Amino acid sequence: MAFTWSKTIYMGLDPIFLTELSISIIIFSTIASSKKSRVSKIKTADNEIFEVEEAVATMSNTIKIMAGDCSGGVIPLNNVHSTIFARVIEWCKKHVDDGEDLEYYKGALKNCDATFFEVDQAVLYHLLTTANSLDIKPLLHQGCQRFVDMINGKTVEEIRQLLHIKNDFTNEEEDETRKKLWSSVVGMNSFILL
Amino acid sequence: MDGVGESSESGSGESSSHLIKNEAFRDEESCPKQVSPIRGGGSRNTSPLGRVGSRNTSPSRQKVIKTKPRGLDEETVATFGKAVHPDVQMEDNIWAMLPEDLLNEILARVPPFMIFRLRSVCKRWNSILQDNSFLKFHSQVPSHGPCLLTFWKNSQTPQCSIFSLPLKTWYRVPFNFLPQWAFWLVGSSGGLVCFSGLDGLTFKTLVCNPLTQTWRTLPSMNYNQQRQLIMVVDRTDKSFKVIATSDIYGDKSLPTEVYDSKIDTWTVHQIMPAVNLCSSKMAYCDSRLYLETLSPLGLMMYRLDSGYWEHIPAKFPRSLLDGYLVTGTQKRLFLVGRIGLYSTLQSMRIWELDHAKIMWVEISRMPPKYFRALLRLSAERFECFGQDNLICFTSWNQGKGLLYDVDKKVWSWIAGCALQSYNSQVCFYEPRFDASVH
Repeated sequence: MAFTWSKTIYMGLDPIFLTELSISIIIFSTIASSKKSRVSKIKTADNEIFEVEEAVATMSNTIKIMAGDCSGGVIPLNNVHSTIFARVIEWCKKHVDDGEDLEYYKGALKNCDATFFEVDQAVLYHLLTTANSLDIKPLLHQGCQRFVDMINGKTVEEIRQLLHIKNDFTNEEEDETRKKLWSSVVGMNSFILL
Repeated sequence: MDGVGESSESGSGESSSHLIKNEAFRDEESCPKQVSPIRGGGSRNTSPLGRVGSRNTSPSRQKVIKTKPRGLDEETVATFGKAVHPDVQMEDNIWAMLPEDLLNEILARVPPFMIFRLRSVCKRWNSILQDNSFLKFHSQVPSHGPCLLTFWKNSQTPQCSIFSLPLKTWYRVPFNFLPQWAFWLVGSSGGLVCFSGLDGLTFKTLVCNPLTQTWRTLPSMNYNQQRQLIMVVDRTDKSFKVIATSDIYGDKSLPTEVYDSKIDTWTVHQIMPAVNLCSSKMAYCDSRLYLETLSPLGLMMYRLDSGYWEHIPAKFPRSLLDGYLVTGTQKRLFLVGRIGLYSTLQSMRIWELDHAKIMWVEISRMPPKYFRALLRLSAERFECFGQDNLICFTSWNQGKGLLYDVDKKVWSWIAGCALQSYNSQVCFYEPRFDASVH
């Protein structure tokens, strides 16, 4: 990298210090650029190319397998749109270092993830299908939790309308399944905030 | 980023979520170095100096930008918070196109109590949700979220209500299968719930799975005495153990007995080394049982593999009242109790055991307003229990519980009809379809 040093910076500094400083900057940038070198190229359905660090991209098992087949070339994802893919990569970057952290599985999302999933239903749907097709288990898990939050509190009829499911129970059968052992005692939000 | 959402003073869940939202906006402005969708190809500049150049929140930084080295590309600002690109489909019936395997993944994450309601949606879902292979898949999801189980006897009829934390709903669960003698709730682990009681003169124990309504009385112990009990489940091994320690009245010195479900018998182990008074405060952590002794105030540890007790020389905080031992995740052990003899100066604190240095380190303190709301009188009793880094406080006199999340450092209240019964026993419970009583 070439620098043009402004005179106001190095006025008053001795030459030896300046040389050491510039050497360490060159070393640093070399290290930084060498870390950058393992990059995967991914092409989405609308012909946009993403350059993503390999560690981040291979959080998706599908991409991992395809990278092995393509060996350095551009990985084509024919059913993922660039907007959704950008969001997915956003999430992957935040979670690349999580490893086997089972924080996701505790039920509640971390603070940063809660805002990530505050999206409308269309985006949530595409996030879920993309996480499923790209096989990113932790993202799928979190997205499913969000979906569960969405249907929690809805009546059975509302769930049917949301998912466009036809009710094929007869009236008697429906009464029977409803008169089950389990019933909600109090269906309201029991957290009282003081 | 960090800090704001974790403040214990913020308290209520609503306000902390507002704080989270504000934090997200600040994130965008101050650190625009995020992923940006690339338009028309081209590579992304991820150089470290590029990041410095685009952060310009304060006037003092303006000078740095003026002397920024030339030749670096500007970074495009993230579009993370912007409106959805019109290419993404926004049809009304979008969920109708849900693929089968994705539906299974979603249903597997549904907490067990909601599964029962979803069986009424349609016949196909009814058959999926009762299918054994689906239930197995459902059980393999590590956790659906903890619940609180409350148990009390209403003139001989057992009553049980379960509060599901992820669903924020109370469920009444029938416990008609429970024999008359089952009176004390020992605890719950891995989906099983353990009860004990006196059947005539015999002290008996029982395990059950409330979800599948299965139960089994365990064989009698070698020494027929009312004992302090604790149950632990090993999910990888698909077995459970019940450990019987000291006599309830503390006047008999009994050998520790351990029930192992794999061999279905109680085995006798070491008598606890001489202490004058053992408390009922126990916690099981990392295959070791910790027990608090009252006279003198100390910590004893029982190793399950060796079957021996040893004394842990961790000094307890001075003037500690009502110390409770609580297990956390990954070998963490907490001590919860009140400090201070005078009501105006009392505070509720939480310590964590530093296993290496063998000392109690204070990690948190209950904010005064919660303390005052929980215990109006200084002499009031309370119960404290917990698991998975959640600690719950219930007051004997008032029908409410206070929940503390150790990781997020958030306090929140739980109220409900079941907690109002003065003699209800409460514990954390994890509903599981695959917890077997055998």
